[in-house]
Amino acid sequence: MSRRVRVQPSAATARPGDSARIVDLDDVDSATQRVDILVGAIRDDPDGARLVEVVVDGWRFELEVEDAARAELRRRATRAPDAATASGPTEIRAIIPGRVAAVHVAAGDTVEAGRSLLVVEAMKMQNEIRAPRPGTVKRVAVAAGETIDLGDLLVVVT
Amino acid sequence: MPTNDDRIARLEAMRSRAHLGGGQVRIDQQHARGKLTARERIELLLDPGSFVEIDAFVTARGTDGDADAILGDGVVTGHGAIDGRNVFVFSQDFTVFGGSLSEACAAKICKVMDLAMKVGVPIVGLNDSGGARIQEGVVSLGGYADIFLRNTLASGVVPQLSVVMGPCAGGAVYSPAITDFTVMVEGTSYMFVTGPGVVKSVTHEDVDAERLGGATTHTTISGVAHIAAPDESSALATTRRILGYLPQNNLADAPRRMSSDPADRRDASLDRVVPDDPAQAYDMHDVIGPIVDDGEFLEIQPGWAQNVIVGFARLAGRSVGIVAQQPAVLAGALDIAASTKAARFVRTCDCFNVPLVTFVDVPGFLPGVDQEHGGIIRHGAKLLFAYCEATVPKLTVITRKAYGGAYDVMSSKHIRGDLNLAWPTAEIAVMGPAGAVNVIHRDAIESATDPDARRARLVEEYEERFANPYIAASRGYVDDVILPSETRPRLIASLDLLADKRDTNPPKKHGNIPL
Amino acid sequence: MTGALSVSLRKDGGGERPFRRLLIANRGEIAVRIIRACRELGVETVAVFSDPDADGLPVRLADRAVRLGPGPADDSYLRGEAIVNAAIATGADAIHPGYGFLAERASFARLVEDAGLTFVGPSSEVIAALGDKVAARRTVAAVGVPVVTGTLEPAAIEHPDDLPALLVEADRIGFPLLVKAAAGGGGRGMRRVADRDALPAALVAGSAEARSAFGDGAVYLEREIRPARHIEVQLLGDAHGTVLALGERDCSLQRRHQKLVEEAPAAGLSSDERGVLHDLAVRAAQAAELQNAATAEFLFDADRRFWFLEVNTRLQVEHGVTELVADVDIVREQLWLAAGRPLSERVVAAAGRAGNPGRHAIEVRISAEDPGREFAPAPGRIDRWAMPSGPGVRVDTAVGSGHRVPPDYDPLIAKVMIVDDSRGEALDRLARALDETVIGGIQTTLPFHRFVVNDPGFRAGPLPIDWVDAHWDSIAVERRAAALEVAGRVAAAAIDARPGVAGADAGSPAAARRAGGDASAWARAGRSAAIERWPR
Repeated sequence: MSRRVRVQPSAATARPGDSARIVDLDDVDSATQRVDILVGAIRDDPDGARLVEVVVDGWRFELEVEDAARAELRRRATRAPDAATASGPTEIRAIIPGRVAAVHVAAGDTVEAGRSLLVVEAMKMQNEIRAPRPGTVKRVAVAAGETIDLGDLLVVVT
Repeated sequence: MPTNDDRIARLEAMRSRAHLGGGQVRIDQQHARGKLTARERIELLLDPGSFVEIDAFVTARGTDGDADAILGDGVVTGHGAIDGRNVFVFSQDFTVFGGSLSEACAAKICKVMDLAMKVGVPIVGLNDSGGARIQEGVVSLGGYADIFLRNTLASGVVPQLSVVMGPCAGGAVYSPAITDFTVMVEGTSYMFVTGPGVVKSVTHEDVDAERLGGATTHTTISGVAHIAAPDESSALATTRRILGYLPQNNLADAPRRMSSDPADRRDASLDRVVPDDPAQAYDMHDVIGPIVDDGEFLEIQPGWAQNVIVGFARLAGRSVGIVAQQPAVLAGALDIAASTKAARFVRTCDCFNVPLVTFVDVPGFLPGVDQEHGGIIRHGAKLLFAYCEATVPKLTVITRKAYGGAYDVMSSKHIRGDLNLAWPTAEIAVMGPAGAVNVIHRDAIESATDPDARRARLVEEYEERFANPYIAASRGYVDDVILPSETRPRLIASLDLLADKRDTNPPKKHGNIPL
Repeated sequence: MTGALSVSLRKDGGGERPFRRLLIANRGEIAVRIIRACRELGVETVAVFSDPDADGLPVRLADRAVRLGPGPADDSYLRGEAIVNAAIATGADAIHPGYGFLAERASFARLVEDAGLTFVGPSSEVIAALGDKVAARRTVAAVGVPVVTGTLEPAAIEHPDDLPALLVEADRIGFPLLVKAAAGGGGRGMRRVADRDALPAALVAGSAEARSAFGDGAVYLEREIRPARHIEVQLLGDAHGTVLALGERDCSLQRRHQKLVEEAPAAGLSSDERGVLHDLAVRAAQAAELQNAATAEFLFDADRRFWFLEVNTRLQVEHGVTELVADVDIVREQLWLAAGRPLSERVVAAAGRAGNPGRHAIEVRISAEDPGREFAPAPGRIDRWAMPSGPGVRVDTAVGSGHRVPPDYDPLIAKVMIVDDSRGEALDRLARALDETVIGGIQTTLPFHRFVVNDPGFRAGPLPIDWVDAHWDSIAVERRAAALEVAGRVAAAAIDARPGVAGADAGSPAAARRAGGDASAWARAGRSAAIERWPR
């Protein structure tokens, strides 16, 4: 483990202007400073960073602390969210025959993964069709009230 | 004569050389593709500073003593820690002959797998390989088989996780396929038995690698992979998370992580989550979230067979596997894909001592020619078999419908459910009211002057009498009818009680699950 | 609960008690404060609570507790009828409203009176009369108390035709002036108007805000006095028409009309000035026929003149500093006064000393607010809680470690009060007490208080009312950045100090072996399997 540590306020306590800093452990002389509390680990993120609560002079911070070299690796291994969907358009097709009860999106809408796109009524049950991944609705191929067959194209998400 | 200092200097020089793998030029190429190197991935996967490498000086066959032989060959192996717990890892190095599998590579991988089996520690494989090392011919094929065998022998003994971070084609796919979980990186990884070129020449289908075997394909259409991660960082973090819910081996318990979420917390929203209209859908995630610790749920295969939800969560710090119908998709009916998805997950939990919590809202098996011809009988039987066979604590909560054979399948009392609870909204019956009335009262309806009115009245009567949990409760098929908001405290109390549960199956080589 | 023990605790009243059972229509530290006074007098207590407060200290300390409803105040602590019904159902004979919530709602006091119960506070008529700020200004002006220059009638903003007349009036008052709500305080409905062009818009906006806050859109105009200090007088009155001033408090350290620090007595006043102030307050109170406890608020301008603002007909948050200086338990006095007793000898003696108290008390309000983000509420779970103690320190609070500060109510979580012989000594003691104060899990106003107590400007004398609004935010940015710098280094060092990562392997086989424990299940099973295979 290197002697350099990356420290960044977590989203919960960060303010505009706060930036990550690299602390060289050989420069640390914490004894000279008055510190109210150091609550050890609040939790360890699954990605390996640790969240620490520190209160200094009444100011409370939640800090993400991570070995600097590892933090840099992680930055390099993290893709911007928009680049993540290299898989092209996803066609959402009917997995059950029925009638379109409601359409919740229109072309151009941005959708999160899991967002309800439309409702298909079949077997007297309402079935929500959800976005399999985040993206933009390119096309809605059906309208409310239409009867659909197994495999019919419903929505295209890009 | 070389001095001690000389010898130490030589070791250090060899180490540096080993660290460079296929050389700086290839490392730069790997980076340019937006990928980390094999060693960087290990560093990101494991706790900082915990990696200990094994076999750094192994070279490919026939290169003994060559000054320019690549040290370590095409894979980096060793052990380290994830959240302080030991884990073995191998990471294929694309900078060395495209990560192709040589005899030496296979031997390195087998060595760590053998060690993992002896000490009872999970194995994580990071896959990024062009395939067999063709120069080595049949020896390479033998290497694959050696790995497959160990994957199989280790199955159910120690957790095995695969992360596909680049190509994984041909026979190589069967190693991830045998392991417990496969995570794929979107956009940069793909898995297929035969590539787009062969597909084109044989079936004239025009398809690119991504569409044929990319992360999205395998997590939404084929169900081959469990999680699609947007990038390498996320893929490795997901791997860490999954391991956090699993024990080190089949004799251990999963680690318990206390949280500040009170065990006796009652979420009032649960009392209203099931709609009054039985035909109206609701999202089963709205049931799971308020019940588990801090609302944290790691869903496995979230994009495939969405009519059933499976995943890991914690209750009072204890790891549990959750299986639940999703009424919002296909009304929660069990079909072929949902049955295999849930069956596989139930068996994964059972072999690693993770208690099962099942939330039931199932109208039955999905009707249809496709389903019958596709073998819903055979596939549905897998889920039934898996639940019957499981000896971990089994808790069941019936939220709404539990109709017909699907009721039996879903961790019912009769197949060794330890605690079966029903919400007041539960309807446990052979079939839905409309269908039941049509069968029971066919003559009465046909002979009525107004058959529709007669049928409607009979349906109402049937609902009144049977569409509730009390008939089942009077038989002891459910142990109790509880307020939805009491679910969390009740499940936690039961898990405490069942922590030392012992149950066994008769001695046998293995059961004959209908595959 | 109130057996022989409570009898022995009674300190005055000769074995009598003002009430048999009293319901506290409030929550948090003030409910605890009132329960304490009741226990000392042998009065049984009934707490009321909302769902998030169900495990709160008042519920635990009170003899009985009645649930009011879910978190939002409208569904719980503002349900006047439910509270009166709870009092009747539990056999309480009196209700203490505390501060905030229903304390100054004449309609609630009337409900209590109509139910045949005693309302601990002024009568509903007096609350109504003084709650109308415009009427109150007229009443006290009539007895010669100087009121801040302004209108004595509500501004007729409903009629656009009257605007020219209003502008003439505004010119007479002079700019900048304030548009204020007739029905309430706390800065709601208040607008500062810099010049005559801005007046019409300010009237409309102020009126709308007043209507949504108090259900009454009436507003009036008042000159803005700057610079000024906020000085208020603690009053107690009995049923015989006697009103006494217990002393004054300086509450100038405010942010947007929310008090942050209060002290008693007001620094830098001569005892003559104090006498004049107390006399004005008593005169105003008598004109309004005030009984029980109330506070008359004044502005003190640069020319050392006092201007009447309003009378608050309730126990104030900051009553404790007066208690410390005057050596009077104001809540206990309130209960006796409500029971019909005349003012006690102790109060009379304290009032006699009020011009020259000879002691100094300071209170800081520790709130779940972020002083680095314009004092935005910062509710959450407290995970560390250490309050100061020792000589001259009093802490009124109802929370502790593990307590969840709900987002539904006032963010005040503790009042740290200090008393010493002089202001300088009290400030030194406060600095010491704040150093002992440790709160984790949520952001509080502690950084502000730590700064203020050591600020040379504040130590030299009270700061004007607008000081915090004008200066704090830039100081906060600087102080927070400095703290973050230190916090970063401390956090980094703490990680370094731990071997390995994530302390998560407690309970693992490796950890058990380190502790000299048994081998893991894995190893044990392997050994027993090996032994079983041994040929016999």
